[in-house]
Amino acid sequence: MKLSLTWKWLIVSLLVESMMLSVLVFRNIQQLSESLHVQTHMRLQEQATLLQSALVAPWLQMDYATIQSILEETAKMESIEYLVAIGSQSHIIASVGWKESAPLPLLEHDAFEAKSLQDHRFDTQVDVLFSGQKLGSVRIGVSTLFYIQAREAMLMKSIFIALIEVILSAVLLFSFGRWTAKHIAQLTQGANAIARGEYTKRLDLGPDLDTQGLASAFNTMAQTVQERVIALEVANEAEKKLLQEVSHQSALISSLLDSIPDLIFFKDTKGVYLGCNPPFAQLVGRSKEEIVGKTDYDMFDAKTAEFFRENDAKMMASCQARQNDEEVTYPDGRKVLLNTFKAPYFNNQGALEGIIGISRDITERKKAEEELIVARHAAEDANRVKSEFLANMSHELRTPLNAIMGMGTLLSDTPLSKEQSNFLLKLNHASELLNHLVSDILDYSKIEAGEIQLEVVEVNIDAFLEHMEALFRESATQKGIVLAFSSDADVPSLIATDALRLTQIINNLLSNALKFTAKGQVGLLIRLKNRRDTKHATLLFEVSDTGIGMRQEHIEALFQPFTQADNSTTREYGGTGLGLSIVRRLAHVMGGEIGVQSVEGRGSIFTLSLPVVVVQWERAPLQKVPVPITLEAKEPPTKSTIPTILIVDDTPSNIHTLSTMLKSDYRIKVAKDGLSALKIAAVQGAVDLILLDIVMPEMDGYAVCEQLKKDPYMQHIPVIFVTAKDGPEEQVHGFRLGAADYITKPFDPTVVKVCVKHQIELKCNQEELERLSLYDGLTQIANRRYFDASYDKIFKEALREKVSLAVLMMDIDYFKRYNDHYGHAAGDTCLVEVASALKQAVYRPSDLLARYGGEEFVVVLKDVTIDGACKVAHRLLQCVEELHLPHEHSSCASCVTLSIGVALKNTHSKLSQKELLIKADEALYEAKAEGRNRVVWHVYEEGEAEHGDL
Amino acid sequence: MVGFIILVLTLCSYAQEPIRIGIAPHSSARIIMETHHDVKSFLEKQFGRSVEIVTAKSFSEFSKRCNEGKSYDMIITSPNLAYLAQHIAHYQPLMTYTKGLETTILSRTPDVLTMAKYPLRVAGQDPISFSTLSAQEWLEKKGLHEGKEIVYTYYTSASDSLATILISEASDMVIMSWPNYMKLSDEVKAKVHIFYHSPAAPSRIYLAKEGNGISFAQWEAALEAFVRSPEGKAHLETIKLEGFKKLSLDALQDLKPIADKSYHRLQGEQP
Repeated sequence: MKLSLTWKWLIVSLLVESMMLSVLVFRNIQQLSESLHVQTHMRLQEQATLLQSALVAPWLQMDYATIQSILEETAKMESIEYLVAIGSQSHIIASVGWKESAPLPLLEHDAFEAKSLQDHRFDTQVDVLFSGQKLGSVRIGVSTLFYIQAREAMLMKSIFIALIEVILSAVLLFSFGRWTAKHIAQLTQGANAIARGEYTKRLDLGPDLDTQGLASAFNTMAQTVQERVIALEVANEAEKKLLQEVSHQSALISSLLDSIPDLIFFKDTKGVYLGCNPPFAQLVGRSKEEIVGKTDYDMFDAKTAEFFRENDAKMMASCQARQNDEEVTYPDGRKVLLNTFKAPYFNNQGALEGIIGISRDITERKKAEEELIVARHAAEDANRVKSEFLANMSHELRTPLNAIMGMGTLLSDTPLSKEQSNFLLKLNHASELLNHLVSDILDYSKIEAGEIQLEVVEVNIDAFLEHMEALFRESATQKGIVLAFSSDADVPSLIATDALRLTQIINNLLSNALKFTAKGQVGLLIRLKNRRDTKHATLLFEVSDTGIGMRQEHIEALFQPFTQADNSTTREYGGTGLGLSIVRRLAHVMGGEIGVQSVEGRGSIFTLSLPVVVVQWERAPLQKVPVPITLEAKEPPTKSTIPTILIVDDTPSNIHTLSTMLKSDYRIKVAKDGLSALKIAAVQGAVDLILLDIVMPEMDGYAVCEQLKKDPYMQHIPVIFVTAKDGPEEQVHGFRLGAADYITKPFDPTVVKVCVKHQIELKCNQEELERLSLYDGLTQIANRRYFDASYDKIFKEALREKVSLAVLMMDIDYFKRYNDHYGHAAGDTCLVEVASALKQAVYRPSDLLARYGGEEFVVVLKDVTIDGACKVAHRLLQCVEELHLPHEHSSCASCVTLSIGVALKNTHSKLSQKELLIKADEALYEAKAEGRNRVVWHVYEEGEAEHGDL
Repeated sequence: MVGFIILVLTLCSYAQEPIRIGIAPHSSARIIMETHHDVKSFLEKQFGRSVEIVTAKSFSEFSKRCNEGKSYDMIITSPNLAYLAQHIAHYQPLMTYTKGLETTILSRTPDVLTMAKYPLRVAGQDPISFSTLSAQEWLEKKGLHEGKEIVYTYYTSASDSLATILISEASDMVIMSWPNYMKLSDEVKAKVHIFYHSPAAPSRIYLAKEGNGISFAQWEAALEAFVRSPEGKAHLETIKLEGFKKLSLDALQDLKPIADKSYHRLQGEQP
């Protein structure tokens, strides 16, 4: 039988309610029972407590009559049926409501419920205790009738209430079920209508709040469904259009890919081909459809496939595009070189989907490149041959020209008639012109050939100015022209540029300025044009003169090759007309610009605007050469006041020319080959400067220079290269090997002299500086640095020569007090005078005296006995005492005195350098401990020590 | 065989019966129970049986039970009643406390003999208590005879109740033991005057008799052990009677006069 929802609901609800009510009634009865049970227990407990209190005293006193009366009084209480007092020996001593002869009922402590329900009485027994002593016990019988009656009444009431509730619930639930079923039917009808496509169907479920809400929710749902259906229809239309568009685009891309001559393919991350264009299909020899789904291993040989796979893996690992050349073979056996570009492609979420590859056949291009490289090499070879030809030409032209000029110069120093002098003057003039012409033509041809290579080095602006001034000083002086060379304060001190080319440009401009100036001034001013940043700036080199100047129309043609201001200039002043053209081209090569301003009759200003790299901005003051110090104690070896120049050249005429130019100012030594030069230079102090020819048989100048700079005893000798090769490559190579400067052939006597003089001065200054660093600035005797170096040397000498060595360590007594009382100025004076006195006492040149530090001095005596050392020590004491420097605060004398510790190491002693110093110092401290102003000595033999004090 | 079974049954019955110690009601039943708890626990441990402490409503009742010789296995009582128990019920004295019992007579004012009306009303706890008897003896020596100059009234109540009787002028003097006087509150003490304070008399006596499975020698040994035990020391601290002293069988002979007086009162002058 099918039941309607209303009936099902009604039956289930009544069943649930009946069960719940049954549980409720049962639970209430149970709670009531428990409550009554607990109450009964509590009541009994209270009565028992009262009884115990009342019974203790009479029980202790064995007053049984009192006990009986207490029980009788207690038994009057409601529900107590009997009371029995039982003695400690289980005999009844008093009772109420119980026959003494009757046996007492059994006690069932845990059977309260069952027993009580049957007998309507609850039996219990309590002990009468006092201070832990059981006096006896009392049996109590309580009626439980009231408890059973209460429980039964409760049960009846509960059942009645439950029945009423079930009936009411049934009526209410039935009504509600009918009402609900009606609305569900309406909802069902509405849903069916929507399902049929009647999206406009709406419900009205009456005015109730809940049904109204239900109808509203249904109507909203219907509305949403209606809207979604419309939207879906629109979306379907759009999708159709999109599919058409995609199809169109796909066809376009496909056509595009097919039309591209390059090979295009795409794979997934596993290397499976997803597509390609016809050229790729042609390469593989399969149709496009056949390629899709294949891997490289299916289409290429294993080696090629492995190569492709590795490339793909690297690209996918880095997720960056890669490009490489691959040689592959077409099915017809044709080999091609492909340049393949592979790139990863990603999906919308940015995850790697695969790779796209585009390969281009570069076989022909590669072939052309290789041919180009061959052609370039051929051109480079030809160029190198040309450069070598030019260099050789330069050398070959200049060598005889050098001889002509040199001989001319030398000839002018011999007695000549007026006519001969006139001829010689013309000869010299012609050879000079020829020299300039050769140089300019060679330079110009190099520039034209684009062979100028810049060699950027650091250039000190001050040194550059000084060098340029030195070059032109003599010429200017001869013409009575004042040189004014300077730089602005904001010009950087150190720049990086091609020093050779800069020198060449400025040299040319200054030469012109001097040439065209009869009186007045020639100036070189270096200015800062602009400062791009901390590392880059543009400098302006201004060469000015007060010479003949030019007209404006001549200025335009000034930088044209083989052109001068006017022909008369050439006639009057000579020149090739190539100089300024070379200068401008050099300036352009260096990124600079040449400018000129000139007023005829008043002079010209040529400017070189040159971008440079700034190495250092700050300007350091020029080092002043210190005044030489005269030393009376041991001092570095003195050298000849006339420097010695070693000329190394295999051409006798060159040797003759150079020696003739320099012999008036220097001692000249000559070597005709490299080995001889090295032998001469190896003798210490024999040579102060070397003029070294580059082109020599067997050992060229570069090799000689390299050997010189490697040797610690010769590396300090400055080397000036002398060469007919004036190319920057040769010069730079020379500088890298350690050359100080270079002179080009043919020799200009002025240039040679200036260059040699400059290097000799530099060397002297350097030696002087080195020497000064070894001496104490205050006392003018050797300092600690010099002592350390010399002591090491002397100690080793003593060991080698097997002689004794003594160290005398000295200290000015109470010097701190002297300083404190007389002031530091007086202290310094004292030190100077004591040092001066000590110098008087050290006679032998081989003895070493030095300021050891503060007021301590040290003397090292080689090859001396202890008597000799002590004599020296006493002499030192005496010399200082004789100064009679008053010292009121000394505790050992009225004047300044010394304490001296002497340590003498005999030949067999194993004392090291350091140990000998320490022993001397210990002896000094012993002298101080023994009262100062005395000498304490120790002699060290092999493993033994002898000592004494004086 | 039958004899052996009877012996075993007897011993079993003894083992089940508790040892009962009767203590003279010189104080309330609760105080007696508390002050002799150490004695009880020690003897339970000593004999391995349960021990009951019991007393009586009055000295007369107590003495009567003692003299019957059935209610108690051991008794602790005043010297006069001890003498009677020894000679009537054959209990044997075992030991006593070193500190003797002192009796005091309290009045409201020092000049009670001149200011109060005669016969003087004197209250005591029990006619046969040792304190009452010794105080009465002193008063007689002072010429205050019962029935002439003095009328005695006996109250079965605690010592502080007697003090209240005195303060409320229901009596001119009251007799109580010195330990009971000491237990009075300072407030009460301030309102009474010590009219007489006796020298120390013999203290409470421990007596026992053979029976209930315990020989006299066992009683002696048990009490000697009690004296040395921590329980014994604790008992002395509680009861403040200094120490224990062993008694010989004839130690109570000097108490015969006061014992006789007590006996006569028990026989004919029951309150």
